[in-house]
Amino acid sequence: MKGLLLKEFYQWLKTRAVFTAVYVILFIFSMFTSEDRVFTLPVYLFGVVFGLALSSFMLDEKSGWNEYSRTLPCSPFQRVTAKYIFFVPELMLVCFAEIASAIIPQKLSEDFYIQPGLYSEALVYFAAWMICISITLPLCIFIKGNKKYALACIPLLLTFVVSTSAASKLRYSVMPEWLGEILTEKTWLYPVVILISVGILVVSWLTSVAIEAGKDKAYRNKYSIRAAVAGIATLAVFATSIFNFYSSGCLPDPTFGEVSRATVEKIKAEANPYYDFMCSESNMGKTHEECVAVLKSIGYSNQSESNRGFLSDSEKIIVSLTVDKETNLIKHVSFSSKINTKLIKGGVDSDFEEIAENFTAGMTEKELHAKIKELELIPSTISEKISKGKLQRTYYFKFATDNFTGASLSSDIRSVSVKVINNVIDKVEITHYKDGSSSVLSDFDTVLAPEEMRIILDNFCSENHLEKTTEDNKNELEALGFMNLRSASGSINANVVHDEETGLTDYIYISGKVGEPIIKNATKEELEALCDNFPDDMSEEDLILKFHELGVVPHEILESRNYEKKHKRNYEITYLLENYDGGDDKYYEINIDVIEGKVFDVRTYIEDSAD
Amino acid sequence: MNAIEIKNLCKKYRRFSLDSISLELPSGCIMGLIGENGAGKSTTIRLILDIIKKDSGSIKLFGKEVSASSAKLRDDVGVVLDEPGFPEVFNAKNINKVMKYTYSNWDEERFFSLLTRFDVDEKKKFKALSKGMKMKVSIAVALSHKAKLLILDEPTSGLDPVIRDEIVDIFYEFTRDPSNSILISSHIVSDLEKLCDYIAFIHKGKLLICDEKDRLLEKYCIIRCSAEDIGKINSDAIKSKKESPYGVEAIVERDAVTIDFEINPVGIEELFVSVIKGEK
Repeated sequence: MKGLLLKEFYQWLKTRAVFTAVYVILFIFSMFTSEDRVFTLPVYLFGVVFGLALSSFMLDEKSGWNEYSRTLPCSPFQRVTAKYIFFVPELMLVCFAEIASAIIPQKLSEDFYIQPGLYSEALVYFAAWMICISITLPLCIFIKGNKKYALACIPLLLTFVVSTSAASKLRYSVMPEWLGEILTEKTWLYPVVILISVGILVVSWLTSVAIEAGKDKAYRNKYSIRAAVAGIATLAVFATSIFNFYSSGCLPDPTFGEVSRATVEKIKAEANPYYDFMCSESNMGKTHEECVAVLKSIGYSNQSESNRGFLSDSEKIIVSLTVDKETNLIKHVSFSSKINTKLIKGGVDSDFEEIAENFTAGMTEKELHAKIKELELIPSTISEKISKGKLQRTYYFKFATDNFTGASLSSDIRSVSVKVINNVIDKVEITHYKDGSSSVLSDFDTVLAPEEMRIILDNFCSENHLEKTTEDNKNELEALGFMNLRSASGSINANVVHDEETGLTDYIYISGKVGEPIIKNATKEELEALCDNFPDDMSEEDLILKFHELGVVPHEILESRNYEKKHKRNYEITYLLENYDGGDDKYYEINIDVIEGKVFDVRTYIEDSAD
Repeated sequence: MNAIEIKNLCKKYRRFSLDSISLELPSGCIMGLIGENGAGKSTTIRLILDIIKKDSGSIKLFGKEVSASSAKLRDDVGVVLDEPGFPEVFNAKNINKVMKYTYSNWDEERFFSLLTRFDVDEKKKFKALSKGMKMKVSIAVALSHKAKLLILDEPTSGLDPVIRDEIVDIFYEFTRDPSNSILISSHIVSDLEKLCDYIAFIHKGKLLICDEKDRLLEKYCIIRCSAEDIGKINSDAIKSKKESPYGVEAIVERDAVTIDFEINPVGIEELFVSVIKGEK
């Protein structure tokens, strides 16, 4: 077999080595010099390397080597194995290029952090290309003439398409939550996938040997049996893995869309004590320690690193407590279940209306809890505060219709909110999420989830985050329900930018769907009068309270330093003028600059092309 | 022990079939396989070498059945195919390296000395060599690993007469060792006549004659006589006849001919042509 390997090596050296070296150099060069680090072209160039490797089979056929090699003292096993030993690594160059292009640019990025999907991307590429090679090599060895190329192109192109689209689902954190859990918790998955991929290649190799043996029954049967055994073993590993996933509840719960069944059950079990203990009475006016003690007693004992939230055992529910700085007593409690990142899926509007009908005005909060448990719902958020002197707890449930495709701001998302005042249901509403260009729905269009921005106002805008590290700030946002710097509904993004010199945060930019204004029809005079509510030197705390009182929700908050290096927060509020017709003009912006905790400047901007 | 033993070898294609070929090549002998184009010579050789798979029958090399597991047998078999199958980008040095790690008895010195004798440029790529030069390289490879059996499919095709003569001498030298044997197929019957101990005629997939060369030459003769005289000879003993205004020239079995006739020795080529025409 040494001679056969040497033959492949010499042939590679004389026909493909230069091309391969050029592509490798080009790839490395683009990896470190490209500004946007887009590596698509070099990766596809490696597809050319793949094709060149396959061309050597044509050369062998043309030169008559295939026939001549059968006269050499080499068995079918040696002839086939030499091909596999040599060609598998060469053909896997495409795979290695894809893996490198997925991992290296992110490692070089300033904002790099490990996502569950990052290394699983590498796994997807590895598995996909191993399967591709397992199909392609036998085609090239046994099919004569140019047909082999045409047939080999099919697995090659399919693999490019399937592997890059599957991997992109993992890279951009749009992967289903159940899959994310599997990737982070089931670490045995990685060696198992590698084992299965290698198993498929082994089956391909042994089957090729059996085919090469031709009419030699004994030899053919020997390797056919070995191939069958390898195939059965691979299938057994695969079946065992699926069985394990299924029995451990890792696979998705159809009702809850992309969340695993185990997670759903866990969250339900963890939410129940919250209703029973934290929602049975008012937490307003309690001390932080009192609330923490209750939370710890019901299993919410894991404190997030930023000390801003308490996580349940599964870490799928965060409860954050906001304390009034003057009285040192609780003024806001927020419950947020991570299930709200992936919605309860399936149904039509009438189904959600039917669900909402279970919650009637006048129902006690205890009856509400019993109903939630009976219907096996999970609230996405529960917000508790004092509003107009009364205890208010608002329960939000998110749903998706049957047409929902996964986009955060889809018009196929519905929200049922149940407002409870003094432990009695006051109002039940169903709201639609609409895309930004549509008409006015109510006071606030749900393009920007106002509740989520209010959580930011109450919990994030009270301190200087530029003296913390990027990591701390990200953790703090996560505690407030911002997974991967995106709010639960997906309509608010946070951008935390790192300062290389200080090692701390340079600025934080929180915004709703960029460019989409908050829809509230008003006249110019009304809006100018609104500005009078934000006088200079007003404290930031009072400003936020005023926002709540007036029902104002900024759609952008920028925390940075001004030219004098003083801490600054800018709040941008946008309204539509009466004559708004859906375009980019005819809107009214109010910009409030807060310097070191006090309102410094209020600026207005009117865009009205009619003026 | 026979170098090659073939019994009832069959191979069927859509428009051609090899029909129960049986022959034996004793050790230390040279057998020539003669046949017209498409007779089945190359098919027979490819079956012996296990390049293509037989439908039925038995093929033994050195007393052992040829199969996929008998790869080691081929260590002692030197092969020259009608199309040398070396990669086109290789030169003789690359071929030497590959063969060195393929054959257990590879003789590098012998290989290069043969190339020198054949006047082949070691550094020239295989694709740049002429057909004759490629064949010389192929022959050099076959003769450089201490093979006990050479199987040669049209090895002198494309070679000039001088080098053909030299190669025939090399093959003859090869068989000086009584354990070495050669199976050679060729159109150039004169080469086979010089070289071979046994002759096998193949025609349309059938083995018509397989016998010692000398016995064949003794068995048949050429006679020239009148049309009337030819009628006195048993028609079964007449292999072929050519009539002209001057008389008849026929190839006949010597035993059937009386002393009255003018007997001339027959050549293998003449015998071959007469046998084929007789079949037709």
